[in-house]
Amino acid sequence: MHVSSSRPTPYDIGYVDLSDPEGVGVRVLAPLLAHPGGGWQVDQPVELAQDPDSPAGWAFADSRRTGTVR
Amino acid sequence: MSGQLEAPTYVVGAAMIPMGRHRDCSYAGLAVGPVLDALRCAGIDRREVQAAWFGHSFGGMLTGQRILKEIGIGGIPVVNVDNACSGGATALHQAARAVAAGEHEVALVVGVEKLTQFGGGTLPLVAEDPEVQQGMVMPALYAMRARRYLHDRGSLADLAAVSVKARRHGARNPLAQLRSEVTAEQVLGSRRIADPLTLFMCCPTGDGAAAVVLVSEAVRRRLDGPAVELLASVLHSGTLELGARDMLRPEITVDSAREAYEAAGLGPEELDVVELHDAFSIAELVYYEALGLCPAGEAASLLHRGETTFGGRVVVNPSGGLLAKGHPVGASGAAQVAEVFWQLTGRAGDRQVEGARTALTHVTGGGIAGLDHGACTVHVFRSA
Repeated sequence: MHVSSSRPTPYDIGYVDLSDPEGVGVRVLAPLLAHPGGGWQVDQPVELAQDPDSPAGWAFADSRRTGTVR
Repeated sequence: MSGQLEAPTYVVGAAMIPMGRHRDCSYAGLAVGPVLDALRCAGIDRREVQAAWFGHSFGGMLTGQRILKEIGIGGIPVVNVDNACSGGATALHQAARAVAAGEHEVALVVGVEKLTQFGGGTLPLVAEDPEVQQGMVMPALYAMRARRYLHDRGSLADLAAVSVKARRHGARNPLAQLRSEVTAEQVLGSRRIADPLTLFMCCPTGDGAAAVVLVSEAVRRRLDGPAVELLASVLHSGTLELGARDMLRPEITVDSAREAYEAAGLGPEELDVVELHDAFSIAELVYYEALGLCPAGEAASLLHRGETTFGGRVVVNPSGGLLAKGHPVGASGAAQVAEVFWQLTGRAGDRQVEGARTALTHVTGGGIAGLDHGACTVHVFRSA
């Protein structure tokens, strides 16, 4: 986001679908950990991470960058 | 609730002020002119108005009453409606049902909003909403739709083409806020708002007011002037969905449109004019499909073939739409109806859609966590 009335800009947010074993799942709007140069893709895997810059103190990080997804 | 009306109901007058930045106007200052002009257009004396509905979101308490007292209308039911961007259209919905039910013979519908009171920027949303607390603003919601669109179906050129068309239409409309045409390069090169949306892919901030006069069959016969019949009036609220939703299939619009077509007894292939909720360029593409103007996945093709501009199969947003005409939230739904009234009575001037006899208006309202949208209104009209 480059324009906002509620947070300093820029920031990244996105819908994250949390899957569960029964396949029902929950969608949450979540802060995304900013990476140099951006690079967020639709449908990419993410994982929870600490982020003192986000309102909640946490954000989702790009699992491809953290190495969790190979 | 069915979108059918119990008895024939007609729009017999409409007016609006040019949308734009009217910083020195109060809500009454914005709306009094259109109210008087709409009554004059209808041939209705102000003392004949039996009830009035006002759509607005940021006008404060008793906005409708404050406007009407300026022109000597009082002692009648006045209802103030907040349904975010759907406020003006929701006012029409409520007024139409009251007229059709025989409660009133003459009803006034007004949409009015003054967004310059906020100084600029994005629309302020409800702070207690959990998504707003994460930084959700309306451009963010539509940017996510656009991201999904680019991933699944189309290109940035499609998004730019919507804005180019809107501004081309708006250039013909003396009431539009933005009356200059733009190129695709200018759209793509304008400053970023919410990736991938640029400034010219977003509707402008502004002020406006529109008024519509609704009457019963008996009054229409007495007036014997220009009239447009309201065939269907649908209002839906959103439904909570905790899981994944298809960002390119807004169910609230799909369901509202289906109900409206059934009530009107005509389908999307029979429409000549559509005024839809293009608050952001991606919205127009998404709503082509949701309103049934084309099959899923074919919105960009419909646009690029010229089917939705003058000379095409169905002219979408001949007024310039929200992207060019402007989008003062509560005023937009009423302004869409004003445009349809002019189109279906041959009064649209340089932007007249030749031979237009049927039309649809569509406006959604608000962003709420867990809902596709908070509200959706669809109305279908036919030349009387």
